Amino acid sequence: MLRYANPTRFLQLSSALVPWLGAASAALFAIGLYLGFRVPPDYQQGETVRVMFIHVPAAWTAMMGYGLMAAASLVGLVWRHPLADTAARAAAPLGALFTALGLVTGSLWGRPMWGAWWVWDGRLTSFLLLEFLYLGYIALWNAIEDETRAARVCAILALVGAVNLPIIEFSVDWWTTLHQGESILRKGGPLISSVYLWPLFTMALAYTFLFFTLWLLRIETEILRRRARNALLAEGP
Amino acid sequence: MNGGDYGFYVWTAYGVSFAGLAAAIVLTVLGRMRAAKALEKLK
Repeated sequence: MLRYANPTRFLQLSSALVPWLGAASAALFAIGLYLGFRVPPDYQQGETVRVMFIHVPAAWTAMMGYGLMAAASLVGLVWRHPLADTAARAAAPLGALFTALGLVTGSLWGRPMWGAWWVWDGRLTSFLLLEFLYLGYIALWNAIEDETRAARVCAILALVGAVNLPIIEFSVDWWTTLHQGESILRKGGPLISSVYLWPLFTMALAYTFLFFTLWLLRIETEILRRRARNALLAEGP
Repeated sequence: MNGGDYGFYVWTAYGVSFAGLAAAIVLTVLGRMRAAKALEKLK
């Protein structure tokens, strides 16, 4: 694992992985969409059940992205490895996007099902906080000129913010929420029919693979930018 | 599927999601290509 902490080796590995991950994501999107539009409407939710196939994967990916960002931040903070800081920084805009998609699609599902675009319940509020954590992290990085200092300060923010992940996960158990309780990844098995589970899990994999494809590309971009900046500095005025 | 009474919500959710993901893919790939070109020029 440490072998790939070297940027040159990382670029070699990443360049080999990206086309496969991208292709797998595209194929899974095609299968997931096909399955998602073939299933019958739910007896309660009607056609809006199809929103679940994009809302839940976006929310899961957003949380996974924050977990990866926090883990990379911890590695950067403890071992002071620039590649870990780069990985954490590269995950933030992607995480912010997936969180925003989770919020918007959730709202578009909530309006016809709950009669409200938004409610301040535990799940929705903690998930909105996730978006603010991502945006705050990005703003903080851009506000500090010294990259080493920016990486350290942002790593602390990412680690403190990681407390929000279990809050999001267990909010539906801890508080009475309008958002439904855990119905998929729960003890005793999922509560929803397997007819809906297949398109949901296929789309979740597609979103996950897409996240990794874009994350690796963004890390590659940052490595190349740093090399270009170092080359410019070496040239001198 | 036309979404019945809920077509607006379903199609808007899919439209917003795919617009967002497509924008992320395009911006990421363009950023990667620009960074590679900039480094190439310096070499």
